[in-house]
Amino acid sequence: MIRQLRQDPAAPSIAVFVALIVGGFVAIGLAWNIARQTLVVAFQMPAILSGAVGGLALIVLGAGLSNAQVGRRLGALERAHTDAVLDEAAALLAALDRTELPRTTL
Amino acid sequence: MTDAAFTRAFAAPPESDVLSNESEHDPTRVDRFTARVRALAATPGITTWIGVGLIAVGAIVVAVGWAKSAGLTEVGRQVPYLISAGFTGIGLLVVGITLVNLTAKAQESKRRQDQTDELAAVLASIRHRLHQDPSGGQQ
Repeated sequence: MIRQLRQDPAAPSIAVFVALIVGGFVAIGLAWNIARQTLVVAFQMPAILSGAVGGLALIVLGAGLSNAQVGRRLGALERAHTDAVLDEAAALLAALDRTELPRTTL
Repeated sequence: MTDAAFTRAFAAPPESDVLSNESEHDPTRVDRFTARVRALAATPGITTWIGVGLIAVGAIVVAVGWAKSAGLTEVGRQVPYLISAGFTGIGLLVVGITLVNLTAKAQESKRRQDQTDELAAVLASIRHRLHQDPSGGQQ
């Protein structure tokens, strides 16, 4: 499994995006830790903005980029399979050219 | 060693050999964990259910945050709930929805790849038949 992941060219970027999501949750945790130490909203507000909103932004960013990257990876896999079909179709055409069968009867 | 004895020995190895082979392949804790993860990953739709679970947990966390902060009148005491429950809950919802979305995309892609493979196999079989019968069955 780990060997497969190492060979996958999309794996490093997806790992970075997952790290962004984890970092977002950590940022929210840090913001909560700061906010719970004071009851003054004016002191809590910076923690909300930088930690909580920033963390949520990191989560959304990581999720969105993961979505895009996995979509690209799946698209590449599908293109590889379509290439195999095209190769097979080309080989079939070449085989047809070698046959004695008149094209019009196909 | 006669041929018959050799055949018997080959067919049924001594008991001690069997035991030593088993001890060599005795799965360690890491092996068992890896096998479990692999089996879990092979379960159809498991990631969809994980995503749905994350969405449910996110919604519950938001609801708990609302319940806790609704009983408070001081904004300074409500803010930690807003951060720990509100933002975390929304984050879990986003991750869960992304997981469900990616799983659905991957399943659709797998189906399309299978169809493409099937098409390639059909073309290959037509080509092989042409190789076998170059006249195309024409008299």
